[in-house]
Amino acid sequence: MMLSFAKKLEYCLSFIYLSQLDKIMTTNNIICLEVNELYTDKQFHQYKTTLPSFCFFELTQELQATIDEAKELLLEKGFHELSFQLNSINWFFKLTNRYHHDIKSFIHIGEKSIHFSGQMRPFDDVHFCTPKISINQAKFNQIPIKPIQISQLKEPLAKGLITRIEQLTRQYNEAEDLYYGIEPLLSELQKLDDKSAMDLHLHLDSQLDLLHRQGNELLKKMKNLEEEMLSLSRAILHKVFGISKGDWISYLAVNSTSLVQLQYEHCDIHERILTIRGVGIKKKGELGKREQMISIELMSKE
Amino acid sequence: MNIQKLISQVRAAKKRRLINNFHCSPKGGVDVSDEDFQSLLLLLKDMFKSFKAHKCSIKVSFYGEIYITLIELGHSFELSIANRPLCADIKYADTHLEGNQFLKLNSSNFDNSLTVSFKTLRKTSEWKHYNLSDVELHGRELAELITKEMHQRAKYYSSNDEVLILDQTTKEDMFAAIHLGGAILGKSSMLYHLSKYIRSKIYISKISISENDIIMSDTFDRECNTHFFGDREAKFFSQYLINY
Repeated sequence: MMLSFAKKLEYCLSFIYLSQLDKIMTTNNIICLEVNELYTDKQFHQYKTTLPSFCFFELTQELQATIDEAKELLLEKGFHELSFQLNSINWFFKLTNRYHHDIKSFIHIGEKSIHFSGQMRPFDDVHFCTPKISINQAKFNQIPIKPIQISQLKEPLAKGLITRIEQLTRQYNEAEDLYYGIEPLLSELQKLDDKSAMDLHLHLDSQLDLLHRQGNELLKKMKNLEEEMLSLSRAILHKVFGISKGDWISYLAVNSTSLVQLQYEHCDIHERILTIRGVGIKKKGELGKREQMISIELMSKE
Repeated sequence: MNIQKLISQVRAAKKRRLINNFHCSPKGGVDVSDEDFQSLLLLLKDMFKSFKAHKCSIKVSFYGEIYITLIELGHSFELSIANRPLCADIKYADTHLEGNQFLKLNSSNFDNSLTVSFKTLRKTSEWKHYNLSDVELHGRELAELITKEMHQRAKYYSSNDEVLILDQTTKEDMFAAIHLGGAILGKSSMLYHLSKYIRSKIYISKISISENDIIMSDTFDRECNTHFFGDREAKFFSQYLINY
């Protein structure tokens, strides 16, 4: 009982502490990255003088806001990556011991990482880039652990999303029932066709073909519904709990004393159960090796 | 020595400095963003006036390199203005980035600040940098500081400087022009293919570019090749090579 209370207290404290954490942890925001050549087999190869040695950028509040906006857009439109020109990047060349200005720089924002690329005059294409770095690692010295508060599912936005997921789940179940209803029929018809091929002329081929096509359509519908449910689940995680891929999260299930902490890598939904998976976080505050998971039941009504 | 003419030479050389991206040895001169260029010319004008007042001669090369000579002492130095980080930061980044993909820097004053640097024309001499945001000096005062520093250094020199030869096309200039030409004119130009060929060679001992051909020979002159080019390439060379 005492242990359970202590765990819950620690959990609540971490939630209050989170708002102050950003200020404490983002002290060093000048980041230096190595630079790699792109298209090494193409025309740019061996123009070593046109390859910067380091890339420097400052992770300002403004840039952080831009990254956050881009992440929202990625989620909303289902994009894989967003790229645009950014002028505040400095490319340093060891050869000349200075920054070069005749470089067009681009930032590439993914769900959990960013990287930069550049195009030096007079080339027409981007010809070097930096490795990808985790947004959280760039932002924080010690990545904060965001707690999942199940009570947030009672908010109107969450309820709306859950209701939609429930509707889609029903549609999915109906489609699934139909699909598995067709399957035995198909095998029976197949058997009948094999047995009576010489005696009866039932035009079974055309019927079988029709059923196959309808089965495929149902499968396609189920896949689309699954994708829509998954994107709504991601929206719940992002808009309701404020977590996105790469974030460190913790969850204490109701009536449980074991706190689960993991780095959110992917999620899936099945029968209203939202499962978040990722590598577990050790007590030392480092990433472990074992995969952990958090399961949350999504119910629109109490 | 007309100051305005010198400033015009610096301005005219800005376009040609694109060739430096392909040059295997760094060149001095003005390398700042387009936004800073105009205000920097004003600073340079002030500096030139001060150098002139301190009995220095100023020369600007075809590629915009700036050389100041102390007439009385006969020693010259090269001037460079660019955006540079602090040397200590670069050294730290260089040692700590190895094996890591990125590095967070503790430096709070790490910025893209304008730096005026000078170096004597002597073997093994090193650049001395003045970060403009740190020294908080105007052009004239900065030039005075550099002249004073030069006079102090010159006291200890017992040998002559390297000979200052201006506006002579070097082998490296020609290679850089071929690479730049290849990149600008593209695959349809012979320079593109010649650039590739040069990069595949370990060493080329001699190169000359004349009206319509490039002659190259390898080590010990065993192999001598002539590459002919057309009007497009000739026009390009006239823009980027002196005395072409």
